[in-house]
Amino acid sequence: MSERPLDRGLNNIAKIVSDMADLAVDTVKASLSAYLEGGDIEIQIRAWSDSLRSMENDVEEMAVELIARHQPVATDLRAIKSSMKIAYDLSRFGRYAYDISHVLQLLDGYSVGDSDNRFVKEMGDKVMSMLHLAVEIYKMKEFSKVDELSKKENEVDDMYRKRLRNMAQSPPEKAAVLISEVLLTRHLERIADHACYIVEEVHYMVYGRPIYIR
Amino acid sequence: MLKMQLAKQTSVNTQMLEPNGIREKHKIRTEELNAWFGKNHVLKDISMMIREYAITAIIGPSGCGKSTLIRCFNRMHELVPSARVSGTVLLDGRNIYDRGVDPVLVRRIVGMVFQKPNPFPTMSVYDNVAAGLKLNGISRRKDLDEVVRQSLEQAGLWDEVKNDLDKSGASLSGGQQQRLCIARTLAVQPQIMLMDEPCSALDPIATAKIEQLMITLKKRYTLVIVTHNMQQAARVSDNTAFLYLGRLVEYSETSRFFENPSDPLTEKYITGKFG
Repeated sequence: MSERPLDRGLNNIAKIVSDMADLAVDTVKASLSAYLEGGDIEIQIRAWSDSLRSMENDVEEMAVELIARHQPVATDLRAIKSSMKIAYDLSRFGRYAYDISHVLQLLDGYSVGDSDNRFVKEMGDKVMSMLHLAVEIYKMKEFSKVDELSKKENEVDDMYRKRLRNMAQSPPEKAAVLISEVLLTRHLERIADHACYIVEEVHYMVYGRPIYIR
Repeated sequence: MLKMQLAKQTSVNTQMLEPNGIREKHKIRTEELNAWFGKNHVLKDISMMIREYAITAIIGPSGCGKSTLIRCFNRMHELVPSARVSGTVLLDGRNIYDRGVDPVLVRRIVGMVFQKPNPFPTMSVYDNVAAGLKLNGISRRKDLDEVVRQSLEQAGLWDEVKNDLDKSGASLSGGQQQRLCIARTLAVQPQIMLMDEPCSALDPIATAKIEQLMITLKKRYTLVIVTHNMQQAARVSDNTAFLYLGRLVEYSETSRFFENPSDPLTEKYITGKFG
């Protein structure tokens, strides 16, 4: 069977989403490193975040054009719909990464230098591993690691809730540290959610029925 | 119970018989329907139900048996020399192929609209619609006037022709001619309308009018359309059946059919990956 006119468009969308996935992982990783280890890369993160947003727009425009030109159905239609949603999720990674890179600047003038970052690092590592899993599942369209992702999602949620409760009991003089950590963990928790959304969309794309990971 | 028995008898799953998976009133039910042209076996063990007051679309590649299937629904298939049918077609529970059933009556109850608009070329708009009534013995002008007006209104054509009822039916545009044919079918008060590629000869505007008309008509009639235009099936139908090489491959609710078909053959056909 020769390539259909629709295939070229679908392949182009898949390529952009795949590139977005790689860029999104790099962006979140860089913003976390900057938070934990220091480094002024807010401008760079902003640029990557803007790129992700722009690529999401490209996917949306190409998707609408494919729908208008080809009236796709079945797997083709699902691929387009899911690609649009996955592109949105990946774009959100860029935005959260930018927000993470912005946290310390928001608290400029307040000391957060004495904060214990072990918790953030632990949660960040877990969320990064979820991101890698989601991207792997997207690229391979293979679902054997969905349970692993779901387990990590539950762990991230637990960590987030427990940490919030702990922070509520912290002394007021540590407000700046607490605020930065609350913001950061909130962004991480949202990134974990979007990693799950991606896999849910990939499942719908492949099988035409939903799966709920969270 | 009946559903289970039928499924057992025909070895066809109930989803195929009842596309929505729930019991709804069905106007037509076929059981192991087979059809031949001479030695050519064109329909093979078709068991399906056609929902009342709904639009059922039948799609499939050329020669798969779509037109033959709907022609079996009103016994038009047997008009072709060498054509033969086995199995049953139940209309409201009664087999239309039973001995003693008048095929002319069946064709009045199960009307048909064809691919190419075919108004009687020498007749006026009025006479085209009234022709079937006259054949059925209705001759009072007042009665004819009323049915002609109602039929043209139902076909969405009245406002366009009410001042030109004496004009030749052949003088209308293609889309108007097709609606005239629909009005002609409606005039004899059918319960079911079979439409064999009713828009394939029409432009997009005329097609849109016919499609809108179908949706209006399903409130009062049961519609079955054969179409090569999958977008049309997706736009107007409630349930869609896919035929291939004379067999019913898949039959389901239209939204599911086009979003997530269950048979790989259906998937290939509707996505254009066939062959």
